[in-house]
Amino acid sequence: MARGAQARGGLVIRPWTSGDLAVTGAGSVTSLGPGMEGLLAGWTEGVRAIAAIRRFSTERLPVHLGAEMPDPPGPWPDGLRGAAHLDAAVEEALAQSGLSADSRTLVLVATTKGFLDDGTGSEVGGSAADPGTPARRIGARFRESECATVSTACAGGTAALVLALARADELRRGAFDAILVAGVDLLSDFVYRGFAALAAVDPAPCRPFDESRAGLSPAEAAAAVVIETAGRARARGAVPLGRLLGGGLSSDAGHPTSPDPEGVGLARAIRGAMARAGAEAADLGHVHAHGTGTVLNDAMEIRALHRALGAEAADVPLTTLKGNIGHPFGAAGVVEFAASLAAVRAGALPGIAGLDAPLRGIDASSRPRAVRSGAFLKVGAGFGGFNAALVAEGALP
Amino acid sequence: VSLPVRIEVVGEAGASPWPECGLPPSTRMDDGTRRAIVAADRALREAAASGHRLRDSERTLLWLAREEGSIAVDREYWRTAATEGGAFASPALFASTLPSAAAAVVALAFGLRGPVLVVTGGGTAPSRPPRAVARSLGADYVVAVVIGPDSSSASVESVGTGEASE
Repeated sequence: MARGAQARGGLVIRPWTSGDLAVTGAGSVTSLGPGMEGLLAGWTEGVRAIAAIRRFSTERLPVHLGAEMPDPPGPWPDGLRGAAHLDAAVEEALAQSGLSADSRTLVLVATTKGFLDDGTGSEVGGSAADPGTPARRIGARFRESECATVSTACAGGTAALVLALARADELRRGAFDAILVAGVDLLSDFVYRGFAALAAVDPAPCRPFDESRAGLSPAEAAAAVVIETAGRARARGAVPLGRLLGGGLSSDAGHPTSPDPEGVGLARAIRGAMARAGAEAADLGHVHAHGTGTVLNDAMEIRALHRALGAEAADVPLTTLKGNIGHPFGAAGVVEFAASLAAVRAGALPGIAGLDAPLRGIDASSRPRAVRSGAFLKVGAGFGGFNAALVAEGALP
Repeated sequence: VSLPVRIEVVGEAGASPWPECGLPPSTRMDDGTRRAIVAADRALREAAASGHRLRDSERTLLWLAREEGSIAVDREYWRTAATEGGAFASPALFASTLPSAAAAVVALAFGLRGPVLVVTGGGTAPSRPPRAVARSLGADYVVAVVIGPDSSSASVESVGTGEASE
């Protein structure tokens, strides 16, 4: 059971320390629109922002749905739509945190294809498709920065947050003032045709963890969170939205692309995250699953949760945002983490949009439920058998 | 030989004998990844010869840096996807357009089941992680692979004792 002090209205895994990694700002743009407020409202209300794709033709393909962000106001920086979206997400996070441009900042960006955005081929191999472009763009905001781009497929967003935790000592000893973790990926013709070729796209809006699930809904998003030590945040007067407690990464090493259907590798990542956080299953208020909606992923994820958490896995409320905004690939982990923090802060855990007949072995609902604890587990998995898990704790209302 | 060892393979990977590993030489992969497999095999052998055989593959961090992402495969895939509205896009090539595809192949070749981090992008792909990163993820060793346009390298480094086994 949970140890430590009692938080307002819920359990905490351990008392806060000044060296904890606090999240002091979050921002996002998704198919639900710009801003965390709209994201939480849409998630809570069960809005399905997955529709016929407008930006390119799917006429010759067997599937036609995706989750596109509304076009940002122009002109776009360097003509890049993705840069405009990422800027909006970063600016929202920075405004909330109050972090100044004078800060020495470690920038970690998760992406698979950078700002690659078209289907004409003109961007393929160009700077828009350089996965380093988004990180360099964010880094240039700060007087002093170090940038890294994490490209561990669809586990990349969660992996970037785990990497932030792994570099916590650099924050604690003052090498950096803050870590900005962002995720961005666009729904391009390039990517959509690939997922269609893999027969991984649900012809209808995706239905994560439902018996009738038939694939993912390709999507795009940009998201960012600002992380600093709790001591520094307190000294600046910043309000922590939550804290990162423990992370784990693993590889299945079983197949060049497919995950291990038994979830052994993902379970190992989850066990690592739980152990480093000092958490047990009963401490968790929810699991924010990867939940792509593919037949293989969702079944694998349930097996992994049971392997790692035991029978109690069936009693931890499980949710995912993907039924609302689809799967934004490398950005997924960051936007879903930010959404979980927002949900905890609001005191209500949104359900899974599109869920009608939940798979066995999980506690999932299509409706919002009261948050029972601020602690949560964020899970990510990607092509190639890469797994990431993060235990965090959101600030309760 | 003492750690870290670092092996670089330059030019055509096909000129090097294919190592005994978990993948047959016929496995589809780009030339940079093929060079990386050859380099990693030699680095792991040299490390083992110096008394640093990786005892626990789950406690080895695989760090893969790829500055140029997956540009060559991107172009090859797009040639299959650009016609007929994408009706003939190659699923195998699409999967290889992820910069992390190389890490999946290296992990598979050597049975590396520990943490994996893939860093990409011009100027944002450090060739090795800070030691503290490996230790905080419970790793005792780091296998760091760097894939460049004309050469690939692999190094094996001991980072001391990570966390106790879980």
